[in-house]
Amino acid sequence: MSMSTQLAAPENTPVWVDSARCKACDICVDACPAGVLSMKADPQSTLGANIEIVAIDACIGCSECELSCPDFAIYVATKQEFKFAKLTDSSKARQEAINENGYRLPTDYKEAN
Amino acid sequence: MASDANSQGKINADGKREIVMVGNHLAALAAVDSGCRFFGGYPITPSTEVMEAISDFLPRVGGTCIQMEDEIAGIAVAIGASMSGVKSMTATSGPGISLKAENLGLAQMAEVPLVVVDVMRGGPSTGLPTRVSQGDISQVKTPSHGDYKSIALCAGTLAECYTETVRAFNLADRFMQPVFVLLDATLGLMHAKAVLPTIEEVEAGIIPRKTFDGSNEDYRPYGVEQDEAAVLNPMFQGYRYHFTGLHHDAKGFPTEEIETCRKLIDRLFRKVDEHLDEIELNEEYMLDDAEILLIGYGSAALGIKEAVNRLRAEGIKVGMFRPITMWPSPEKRMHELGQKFDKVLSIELNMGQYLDEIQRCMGRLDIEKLIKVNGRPFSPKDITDKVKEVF
Repeated sequence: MSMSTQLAAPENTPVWVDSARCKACDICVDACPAGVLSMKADPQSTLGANIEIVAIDACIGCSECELSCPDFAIYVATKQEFKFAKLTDSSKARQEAINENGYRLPTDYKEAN
Repeated sequence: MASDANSQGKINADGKREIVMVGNHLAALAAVDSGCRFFGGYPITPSTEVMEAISDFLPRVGGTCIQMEDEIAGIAVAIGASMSGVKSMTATSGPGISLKAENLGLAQMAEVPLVVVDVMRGGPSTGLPTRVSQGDISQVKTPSHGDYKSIALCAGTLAECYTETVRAFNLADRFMQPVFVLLDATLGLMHAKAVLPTIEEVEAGIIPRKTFDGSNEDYRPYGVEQDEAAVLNPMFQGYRYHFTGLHHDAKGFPTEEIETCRKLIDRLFRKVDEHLDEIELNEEYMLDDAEILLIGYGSAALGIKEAVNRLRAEGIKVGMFRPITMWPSPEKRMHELGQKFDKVLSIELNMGQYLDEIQRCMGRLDIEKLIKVNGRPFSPKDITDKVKEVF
């Protein structure tokens, strides 16, 4: 097991990942209501993909990704450590687009405003 | 055995099977590999995948899976199948255990071996169907009225969803009573790699149910030593005995004879109590040099182990004790640990059901607790924060 455990939040960061632990099961991407997380192609990874944070500013701090990760690869700051965004329509739209595209952010994705 | 190429898995360099499956499917696979040939049940979230998988596996090996009209009938047919000598199982969640309670009492009293998988979800009542909890720990100790001694095994990893189900079948046949396998919504639905014993290893560990092969006149199914389980020959094979939930004599017929009644209940306890070494199983993680003891079980232990690693990386010496056999509890070992450790933290996804047992075994009340009852699992951070806060 990787011991690269980061205990305190890196400064000004709502969510961060230990990609060495990610096996690309997609569960966190599915769980994120705000389209913050996505998978990216990674030929070195077991399932050919790895976790990527694509919209860090949209994180609402719900921790669903952290709690659903079977491999403890995701960390979310606490509400004391970071002031999180509110859930917006464009976040929801991005989440839907990512999930519909096999848990990967479409390369030509345009933010809805 | 059951199974197609996919459920056989792949044999790794150590000669073990590697397989990618959800916990519920692993429990079903374990049942079939252990020789289970009957499943009666009624699907309920989050246990449904047990039935889903076994309804596929069983017909391939000449077994039967039947969906009954409700949970009560589900265990009733499983009891019937077991009486005719077939290894049987049912699977459900907490609300299903509530419904099965009466028949669980019957199986305890009449000594019918049976495996009952309970995939725990939030309760009471219909509770939180799709969310995790460990709220059935007390329930499976005494689901039915009356005096008897439950055996309940709690899987804490994906591989244990398999190995504990195998163990449950062996214990059920050994002690002639229902044996619970506790999973929860997290483990039951977790999809990942599990490293399992091979089918040959599982089959080598199976000890068949005891049978009597003398003459019918000499057959006394319940007339056994005070620390032994009944010897029930399969029905329809020429041996006659009575089957009842009433207090019964050596032939199984109802009786109110004073000494017979006392001895019957005494034996239901002693057949388990005097063979604890065959039942107890625990995991101890980094306890040797630890100063703080964390106690947890089931899926919560995944988070606890990660928390132990994180705290150790910071130089805080913690260790984990994890009971795998929940009931009967590891009384002696917990008592020893209670004397060795000053700082003890109990961690569970209920209001402290096992904390009561830890307090009893350790003989002390100053045990810290971390609980969660909102249907969410523990994050390792919950645990590291709590350790730093209270110790």
